[in-house]
Amino acid sequence: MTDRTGAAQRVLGGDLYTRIKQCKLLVVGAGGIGCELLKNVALAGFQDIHVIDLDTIELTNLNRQFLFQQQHVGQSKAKVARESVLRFNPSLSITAHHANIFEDKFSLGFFEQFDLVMNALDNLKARNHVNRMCLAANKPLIESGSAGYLGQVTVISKGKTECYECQPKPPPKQYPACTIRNTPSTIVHCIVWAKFLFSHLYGEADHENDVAPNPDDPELSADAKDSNTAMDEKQDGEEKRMNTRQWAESNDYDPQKLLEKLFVRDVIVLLSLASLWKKRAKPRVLDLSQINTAQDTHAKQEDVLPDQKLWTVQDCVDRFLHSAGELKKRFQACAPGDYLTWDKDDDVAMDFVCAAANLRAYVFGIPLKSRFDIKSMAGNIIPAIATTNAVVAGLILTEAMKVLRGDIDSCKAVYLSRTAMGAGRRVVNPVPISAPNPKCYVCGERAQVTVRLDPSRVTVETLAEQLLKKDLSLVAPVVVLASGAEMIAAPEDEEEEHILKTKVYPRTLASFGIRDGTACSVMDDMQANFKLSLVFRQADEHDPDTPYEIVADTSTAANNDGNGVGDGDEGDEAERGASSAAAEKRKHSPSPPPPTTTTTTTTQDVGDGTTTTTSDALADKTPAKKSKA
Amino acid sequence: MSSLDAAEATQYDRQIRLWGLEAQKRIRAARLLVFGAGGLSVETCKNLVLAGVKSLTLADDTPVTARDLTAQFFLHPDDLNKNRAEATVPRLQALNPKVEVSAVTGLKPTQLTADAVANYDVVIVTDALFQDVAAVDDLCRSQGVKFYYGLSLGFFGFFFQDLNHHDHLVEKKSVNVDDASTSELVSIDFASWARVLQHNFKGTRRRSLPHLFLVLRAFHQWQASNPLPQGVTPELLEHVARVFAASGVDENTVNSDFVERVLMSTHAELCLATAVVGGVLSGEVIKAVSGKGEPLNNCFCFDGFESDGRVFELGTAQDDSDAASSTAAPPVQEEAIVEL
Repeated sequence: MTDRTGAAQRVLGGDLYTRIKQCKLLVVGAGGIGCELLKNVALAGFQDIHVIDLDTIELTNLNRQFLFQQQHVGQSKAKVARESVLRFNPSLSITAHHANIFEDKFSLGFFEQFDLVMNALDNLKARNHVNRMCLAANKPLIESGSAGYLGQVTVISKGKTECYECQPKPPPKQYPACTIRNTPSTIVHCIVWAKFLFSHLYGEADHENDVAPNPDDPELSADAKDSNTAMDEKQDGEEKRMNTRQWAESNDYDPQKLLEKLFVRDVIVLLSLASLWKKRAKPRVLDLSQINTAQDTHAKQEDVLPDQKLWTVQDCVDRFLHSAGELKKRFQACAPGDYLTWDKDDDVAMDFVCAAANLRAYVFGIPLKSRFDIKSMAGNIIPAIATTNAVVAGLILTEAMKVLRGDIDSCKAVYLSRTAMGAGRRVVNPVPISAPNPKCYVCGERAQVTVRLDPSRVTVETLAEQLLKKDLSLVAPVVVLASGAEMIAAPEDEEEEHILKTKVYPRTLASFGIRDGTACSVMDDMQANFKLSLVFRQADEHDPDTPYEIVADTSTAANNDGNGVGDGDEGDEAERGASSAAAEKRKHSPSPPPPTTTTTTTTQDVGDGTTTTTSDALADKTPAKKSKA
Repeated sequence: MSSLDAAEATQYDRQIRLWGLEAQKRIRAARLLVFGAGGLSVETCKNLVLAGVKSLTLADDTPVTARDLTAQFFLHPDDLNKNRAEATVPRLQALNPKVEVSAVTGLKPTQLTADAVANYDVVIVTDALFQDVAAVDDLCRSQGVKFYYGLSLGFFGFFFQDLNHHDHLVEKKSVNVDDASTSELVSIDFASWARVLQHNFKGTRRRSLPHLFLVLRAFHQWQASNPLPQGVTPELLEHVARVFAASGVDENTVNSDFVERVLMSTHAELCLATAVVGGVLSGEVIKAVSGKGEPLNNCFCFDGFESDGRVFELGTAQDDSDAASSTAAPPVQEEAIVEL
């Protein structure tokens, strides 16, 4: 038998070679970085590999996820990746889990069986989770990410390095509800509105949120009476009492009527709020009789992809009517309680958002965008390429060699850039990894988060769903009051979940005795050993758009990443910068290596990551959602 | 250039969102000739076939050995003794049926003619000695063909690119979300490999020296007449010192630990370096054929012990040998990933 790794053994040295062979390895993610990584670990001599991925293979993965081919579309990434790797090294043991990392079976005990964990993930939520599991199991974790031409690898070792959540992530851009509902000024505002329109009309019924003109705009407070009077005049009594969802229901979701309401009548209402237009251009009503002749002319459109051609306003109207007609059929075919969810790869849903966003842009005098561009923004697509992923997966191995040598101290955070950076002219730049942040609410010894809110106005639902699950990435939060009573318990079954959501969620925090200075313990039923102390401070005012504020003196690691989780286009997001590419540019400073402590001013770092952040904001960020107006 | 069909638009969707349709069309027109079917080569080829070049011809004359299996993932244990290119090509082809992938045997880089070279846009030479590729580069220069030379060993890797006179677009990130992004046309003149080999490092500070380049050069000269020793010998160190001195580098700069690391790395390719060097190299080919993005000028050295990958501009006017490292123009901010 030929010893394929005989030569490798000589290069690596016997010790390291043996450690690789004996290392039981977990790879989380078999997407863009994951495919490259599985190839590398198989070649490097790892013998016992587990891989977890929830996803199935899509056509748009094939430009970079080289373990998959056309005939694999629709199949499990983890399973096909396993088969492909075994083809070039049949002697390996690879266990493929076509499953969600949040499933119960990936318990602390599951993580404890491994010697090393490598992340090749596509979203913040899963990264946070694996980070916490590895800290709890005390297993070294190699974290990675890529976005476009930029990539990043770092090592996380409990107590020795900062953890994934030691530094705050830049929060995604948020848009005030009033901008979205009343005064959009960019195409992004229109896209946010259109996506929100979709979920408002066809999504889970939520009568508190609306896309219609918002009379509670602070700009209107001075002449609120006039405004309301104006709105009264423009809307008949019945329409005024209904939100857009109810209005659509009462009109049988008729596409033509919907078009007229959204782009004619609602615009007339907005125009009546005169103070909004003192300093900005007035919107124009979509004149359905005029647009047939008012074709927008766009030169030089021949040599582009069909999706890159700009739609005329008439195209938008046609597509709106058509997609709204399709969605009506689908929605009305839903079982009671069922609803539609938006997906950028669903052509009808994408058409609807593209048409609605462009029509709104037309109304507000904002330049229209192609379906191709709107898909990027609405779908939160982080473009990913094979070359970057390949480099990142190689760098995961260089760092893994140091981990296996037991030399965590020499591990680096490594950044890939597109051009040579700094005096050292580095394209691959190793920088020292920061020490743990003692105030980190995940790995710090006294993990504490202070939140400022009005307990008489904020509900348990907001606390659980927004603050704990979204902002702090808990999976199954448990909140225990100082009395020992559980305010929020992790539901064991559907009945308990129902009770939690119907009986506990609507209550205010004040009804549980929470007031200024109250502290309670937060644990996670899924994330072993995770524990933090949550301290409440009384807020002076209650703003429905931002019902709470995480106070910055402890770890502000509350990445208000409403979506993080992405868009179903894991391949792409998977390869997203581990802590966003913005952080990378900052660290990518001239040699000698930059300071080890990173500042928290990441949001100001206008690197390539900025676009990532901005597009993040679009995925699920529907600012009007928090509005209780 | 003709437009992409719907299937291509879907397959290449993500990269078109990154580098644009024009760049994709140029990539789709590129014809590549690659010498050597080892680990670095196959990493490079994989990325370029995935990116959707027009054609890729893989030339190799050697049989598959166990040593190939450490980093050449398209070779299987049952491929032993087959021709490396012929064994590799079907698996490379499977990555992207739209690319014309073919194998050539019996062709060495040194046998290339001007006519043969003119059939390609890019020539990539791997698995060759430093002293053997200057003529190939000159030939490519004469035909306006982009030339790459790369090698990977253990934890280390190196490549050189010669784009001769190269015009490329650098995108300026637009501040205003609704502005169309603006591009600037920039030209670079590359040095030939022959000029690189003549580079004199006199006066270059130690930390600005391409140690890997110098040690590899010494090894390759040694290999012209003798196999490398199993371990570092005084003779080898003396030889390295002589090569350093001949390039204007103080002999005391030779670090025997580093020489030993590189020497041990000659036993096999490791994927940790082939992935990084092949990834950066193929990224450079994409930049070059698409005319988009600032190329790395002109040598890239990777050290996998340190996870360190640096660019050295060698073979340009002597007086800037040091200045080039310390006062090089700051990289231009480029590429809006998603136009917002």
